[in-house]
Amino acid sequence: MLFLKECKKVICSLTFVVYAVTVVVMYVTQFTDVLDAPVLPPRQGLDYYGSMAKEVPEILMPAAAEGLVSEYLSDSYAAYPFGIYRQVKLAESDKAKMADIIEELTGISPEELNEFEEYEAGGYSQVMDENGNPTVEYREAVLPEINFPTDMSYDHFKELMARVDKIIGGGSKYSETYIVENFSRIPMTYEDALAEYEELMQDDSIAEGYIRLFCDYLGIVLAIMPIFVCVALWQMDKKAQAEQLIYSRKVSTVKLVGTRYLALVVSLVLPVLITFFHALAGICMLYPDKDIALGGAIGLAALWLLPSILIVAGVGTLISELLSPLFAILVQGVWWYMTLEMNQLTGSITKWTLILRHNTLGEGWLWDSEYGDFVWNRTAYLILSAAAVGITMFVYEKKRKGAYYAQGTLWKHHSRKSKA
Amino acid sequence: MRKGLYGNIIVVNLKHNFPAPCASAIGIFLLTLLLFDVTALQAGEAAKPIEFLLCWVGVMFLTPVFLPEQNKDIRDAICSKKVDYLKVCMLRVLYSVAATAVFVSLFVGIMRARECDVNASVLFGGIATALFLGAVGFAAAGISQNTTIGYMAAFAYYLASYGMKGKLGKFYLFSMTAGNTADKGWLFAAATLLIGMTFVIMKLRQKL
Amino acid sequence: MKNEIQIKAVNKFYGRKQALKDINLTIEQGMFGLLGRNGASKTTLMKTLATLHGKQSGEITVCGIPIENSREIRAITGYLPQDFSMYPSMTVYESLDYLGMLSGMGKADRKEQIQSFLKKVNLSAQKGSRVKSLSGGMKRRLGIAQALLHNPRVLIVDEPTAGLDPEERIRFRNLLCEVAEERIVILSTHIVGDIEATCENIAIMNEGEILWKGTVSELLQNAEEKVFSAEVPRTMLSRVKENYIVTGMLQQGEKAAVRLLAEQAPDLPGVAGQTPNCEDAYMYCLYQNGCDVSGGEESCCF
Repeated sequence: MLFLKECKKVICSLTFVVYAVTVVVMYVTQFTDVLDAPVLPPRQGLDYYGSMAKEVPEILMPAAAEGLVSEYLSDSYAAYPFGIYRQVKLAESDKAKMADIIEELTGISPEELNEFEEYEAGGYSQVMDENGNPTVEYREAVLPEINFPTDMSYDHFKELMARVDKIIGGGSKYSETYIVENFSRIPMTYEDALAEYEELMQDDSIAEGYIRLFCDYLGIVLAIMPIFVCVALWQMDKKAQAEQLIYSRKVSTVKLVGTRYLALVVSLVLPVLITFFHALAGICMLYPDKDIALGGAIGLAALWLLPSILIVAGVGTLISELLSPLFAILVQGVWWYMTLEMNQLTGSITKWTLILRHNTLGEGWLWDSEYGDFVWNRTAYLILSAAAVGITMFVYEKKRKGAYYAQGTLWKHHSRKSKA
Repeated sequence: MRKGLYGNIIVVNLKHNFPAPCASAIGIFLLTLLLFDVTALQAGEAAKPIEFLLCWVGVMFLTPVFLPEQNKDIRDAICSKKVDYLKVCMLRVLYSVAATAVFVSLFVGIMRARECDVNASVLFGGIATALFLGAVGFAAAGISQNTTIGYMAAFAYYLASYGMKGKLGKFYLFSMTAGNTADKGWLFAAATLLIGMTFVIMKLRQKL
Repeated sequence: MKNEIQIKAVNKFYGRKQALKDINLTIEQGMFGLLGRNGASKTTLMKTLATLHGKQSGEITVCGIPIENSREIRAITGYLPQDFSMYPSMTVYESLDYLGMLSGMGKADRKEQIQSFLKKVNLSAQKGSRVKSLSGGMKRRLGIAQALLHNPRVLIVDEPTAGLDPEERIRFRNLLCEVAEERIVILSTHIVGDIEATCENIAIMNEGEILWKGTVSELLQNAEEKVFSAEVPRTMLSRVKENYIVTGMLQQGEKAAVRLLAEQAPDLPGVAGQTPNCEDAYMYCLYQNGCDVSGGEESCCF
């Protein structure tokens, strides 16, 4: 049976072994710690219970204004259009427009702003602790004095932020998608922490909480490593100089490409399944008295991770066949890096992010708010994967008929045909 | 050996086997400039673009050193000649290391011109990081005789650095971003060792 | 130093599988044919001689140089692998120039030799063509040119005519004979016709062992009075194939003319003794050494 033979080809390849090892190592080194002990309820009387994003205009507005001044002074704006990180530098005309908005928000005139020389960026940065291990440190930004107008209405503020986002080019911190997560974080109280704990401990959400974390880690690996297994599979024919031999067989292109793709995906899922069931067993053992909703956990993992595998394998298959295997690796590597560079451990699930992050057992409230985008995102990638496979079938069929891709166009290779 | 022979071998290899890795490295270089605004950055921040993205130029140059002869038929033809195949690979490693150093130096030069807080130790650290990640790919590609495995190993190490952080000790890729330039000497030594070890393994394999 | 290759008690293993079993051979100047089925380990022996593989035991000297001195051996050896290939992006000229460079040749020497060999192998018109655009036959010719470029004392060619059309095969054989006048040429093949047309001395290999060595005439002599022809009804064919080694068959209506090997004249209609050809002698040699040759009837016809 063709499917099993293709599976065997994939699983017996060295690239698959390295892929499987990477998946397992990621799982063991990053996730399994949380299976050591059950989550305990928060203790009363602590100073800090973490923070949560909540749309509070009184907090959001001055914080966003401060953030905008900081980015203006550094002359660099972080943006995540289509879930891909990029730093934006504004043209002089846009800078002037931005300075006007800042003046309205802070009372600082463009002249004062441009003459401010003491600026120092703030935020979290990595430093070495006394043992030489990397740790995170927070530093306040040095900014001019900001006087946020007390009479600013929230609606007008939102209008200004929409203009700011437009000037930056979309997907900025001030966009509707990111503004609350970035500028409206409030400290959690004991009651909030307890509510978060109790929500996690619900029979139907406990496994989901753990599986979200599991998917968070595995999603990083699955957004890059399958590409290698994929290109190795499609390279096999070329390496064995068996391309023409396979082109000439009776099997239809749809069946051949479809079966290979399916075999690739099924094989790539195997190590994930093993780690997933290990995680699930660990969760069940950790909470023996809970009636854990396994179906929901399986569904969540499938919806989270399967589209990642499908899109990477799909794009890898398409680029390998259309251009070259190394180019496929390069494209996927860049895409992976640019998504990873968003670097927010939670709250970065948007409609187009390839790597979805929710690096905590808690923050169910955040997850709930992002769930719509999550489903949209995964569905979009499912559709894109199908499209990539469809285009691959078209290209493969063309190649079987003697046309091949070179110098940017599909063209008939007449000399080869005439020789034949 | 005839005078200038190695120079001629380098010239031919530069013409036929260098353009593709060089184009990829230029892509990484430009992408780093595009993604990171390298203006007036302080030490830790200045190291970030180098350690997180620019270091991939090392992988682009060093990992495909064995690629031209990955086809067994070509390898047989090349290996049957008087000049040892591994010597040809060593020449490729030499110019790849030089190219990596040039790309990192150029980038650090641009940073310096844009008033970033970079100095000789950042330059050395950047070169060491790029060479180490490249050497991981080079070693994996050479030992497995499969360039794809080489790229895979480099990504796996990068991922490990990303996820395991301090657990990698002196071999943590992003130590300069965390304010430590002292460990880059270890990365440089490890890169040299990995490259040397790969040649030894390949030499032993030749004798089998 | 005399042009001679001496192989003494050579053994080679791939893991547990023994690829070369106690090989002893002396190869002198001229054409030497190494004959054997696919998988007989001919390529392993060729690659060992070309210093591409090591050996586990035994001694090999090429023109007096121990095989362990791979650099010196490679300087006097030209090797054409079974499936020769070069960097696809290089032109024919660039390929030869680079391979000449790797053989330690000077620039002027390379230029002169490349022009000369391009003419000899009839590739002058393709000198600017990229390797990826060459046909199979052209690639082989490029392969032979690169192997001879540095004027080696030993030329090792592995299955050189596989995949060539009859005209190219004859041209190739002639070229090999021409160059063998002043050097050792070792030709490995499973095509008996190549050996018959070119080699005086041969060895037959099977499963890593040398089954037989000597001259072509000795091989033919060995099969004398063992080759017969007969005209049998088609209905008898399966019985004939069961009892004899059939080396050729031509079906004519209800009858079939068969050529077969037997220790004594078989009891078949129209049986007549035949002069053995190289193919008969090769098959007989395999049979004599206990090899399974039951499928041999498909290998030739007459």
